Amino acid sequence: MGDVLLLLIILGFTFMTGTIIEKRHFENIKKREIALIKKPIINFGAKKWDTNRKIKKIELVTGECVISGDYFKNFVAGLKNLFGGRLTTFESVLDRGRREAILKMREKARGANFIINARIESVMLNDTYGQESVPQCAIIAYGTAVTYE
Amino acid sequence: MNKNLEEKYLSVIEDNVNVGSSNALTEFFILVAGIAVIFFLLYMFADAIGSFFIDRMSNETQMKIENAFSFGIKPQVSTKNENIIKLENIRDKIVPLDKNLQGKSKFPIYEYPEKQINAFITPNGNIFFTQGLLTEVKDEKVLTFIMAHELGHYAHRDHLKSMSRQIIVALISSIFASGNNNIDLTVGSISDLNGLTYSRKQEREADKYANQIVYKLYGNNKGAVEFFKLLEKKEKAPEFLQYFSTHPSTSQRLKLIQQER
Repeated sequence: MGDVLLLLIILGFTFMTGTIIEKRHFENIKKREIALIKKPIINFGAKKWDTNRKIKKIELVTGECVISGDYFKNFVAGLKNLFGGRLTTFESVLDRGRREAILKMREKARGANFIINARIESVMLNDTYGQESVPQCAIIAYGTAVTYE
Repeated sequence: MNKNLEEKYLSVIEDNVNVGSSNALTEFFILVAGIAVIFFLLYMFADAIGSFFIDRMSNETQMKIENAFSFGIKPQVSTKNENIIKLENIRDKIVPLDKNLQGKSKFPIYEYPEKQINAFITPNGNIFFTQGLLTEVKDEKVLTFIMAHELGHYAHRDHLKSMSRQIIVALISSIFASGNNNIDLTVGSISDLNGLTYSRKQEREADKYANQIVYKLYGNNKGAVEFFKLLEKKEKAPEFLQYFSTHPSTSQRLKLIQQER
């Protein structure tokens, strides 16, 4: 009986904290994205790129984000594993991580005119099938920042 | 950058298609309810199978299983005082009344050092009465009812039934939840509650059994009614907490006993 109560308390608490944290994170991301709206990323995949203008600087820019769902999200996803389907609780987590990583990359390229050939990678940091592990995801965004003279 | 494009970007930022629109909380409740229903059905199934085979089991098999499972269970207190001798006399009156109780355990009686009012029987037939109960209850009829209730559990083979049910459910749920911690956790929580509801059904049966025994011995069931009235006085838990308790609520048990009359 005590176990059930404890579980419910933990679930309720992490649901509340998780919701608040996620809402704030999304607001933060939106604000930064709107601020950076005039810094384009260009993705054309070509290995060779030509321009007539004189280039001042070309550099590698990266942005990383390690993100994990809260206890409640992990719990719901774990239950959903039994029946299958979209793990909607993790979708928002992944979305936050990806946008955060891209934002960091773009913020790092401050002063550059644009970023070309941006790529996104994701890595599982933790073994999901371990007993005590928490699903964590590292998302890395990288690209080449080009600054004109 | 032209104005239109900027607006388009802004709308993309505001309207996020990558995130599912479903509410995590409703999803959680639907999933838990689904799993609860599945495991409730599983319990009924395990219950039916267990009862079917255990009711048809021979006495020798029962003894074999009991001896295998109660290895190492030894009572801590073994002092013989007046109370115990009184209880032993009552036991010797009850046992000849039922064939299911004869030729099995000797039903030794022990006192258990605890203040709560309680009595219980172990799988190999040791009966324990708490100190609180022995100091509170002196009336022989009431003690007969309690003793008959515990012996009723034994006569109905309730200990074996709940054991078999636990084994079946644990087996199936471990297949279901292989490698998934959360399902294990949820199933554990749900099955805790379901296990209790089942044992309450057993409690009701044991109450009926004890009622019949008291009738046979004394011709009325005043002892049972008195016992429940005493419990009702001591109890403070509200009735809606019933689902979490091992026994049916006292007023329900009292009603049941009075209906039997």
